[in-house]
Amino acid sequence: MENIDLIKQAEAHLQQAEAELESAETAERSAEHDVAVALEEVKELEEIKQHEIFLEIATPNGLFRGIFAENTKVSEVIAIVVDKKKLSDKDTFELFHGETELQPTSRTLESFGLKRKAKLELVATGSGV
Amino acid sequence: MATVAEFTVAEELVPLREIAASRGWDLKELDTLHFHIALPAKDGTIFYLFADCGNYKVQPPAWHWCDASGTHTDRAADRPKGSGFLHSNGVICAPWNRLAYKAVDSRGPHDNWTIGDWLQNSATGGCTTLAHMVLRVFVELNGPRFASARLAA
Repeated sequence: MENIDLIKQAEAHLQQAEAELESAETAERSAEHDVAVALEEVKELEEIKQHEIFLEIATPNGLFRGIFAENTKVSEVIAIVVDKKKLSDKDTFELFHGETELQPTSRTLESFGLKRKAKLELVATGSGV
Repeated sequence: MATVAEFTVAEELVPLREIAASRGWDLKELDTLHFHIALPAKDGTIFYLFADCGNYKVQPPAWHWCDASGTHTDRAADRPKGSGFLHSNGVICAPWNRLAYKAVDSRGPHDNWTIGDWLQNSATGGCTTLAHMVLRVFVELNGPRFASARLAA
């Protein structure tokens, strides 16, 4: 009986260890990706002129990459991306930079503190129900 | 022969793969209808979603919070805490999540939605593709409705 308990305990430990290994492998892949991205960023930044911003925007139809003037309005960026990525113009879209929703969209990119390069997300309006 | 659901999932995974690769989100495609994906939250925590796309798009996917290996689903320890989409019942509260329907899952907050109407539900808005749904969850995990801690186990 005691042996059965010990085996069960060992199996639980093994399962836990496997889960932790999986997490560690995910973190390792993430770190490798970060290094690759950083190297790519160095190259891209060398090509961007003063007062320009390189935007990489994740959209429902995939990635959009483009260089914009710092004083471009957010609404203009959204309109261009919706058009280029063939998103439905019947939907209203919101642009996010990390925690920040870029609202109001009449403001410029630079007014949100964006400089040189930024990764943004474009999603249809929604707040959860 | 592939089913309509499998064709649709294959098509919609294309932009999701592109985004995941760019952002370093670990995307594992388990078979033609199931995948899981790792999404970082604003506090640095990584959350994992398991998507069951059976019968997609007649029905929306079932989005389960899961562990890193995708072995365990719907455990309190693997779910983010928050509001809005990040419902306190532990399910993503949106018409594009099968688990939000009480008729499907007892935790589902909504008995006033009909699952077959999810694409016409005004609360779905434009969120009708897999990449869009994942992007919305990512935005929520990094926005003001995310409450940092995981739900207590």
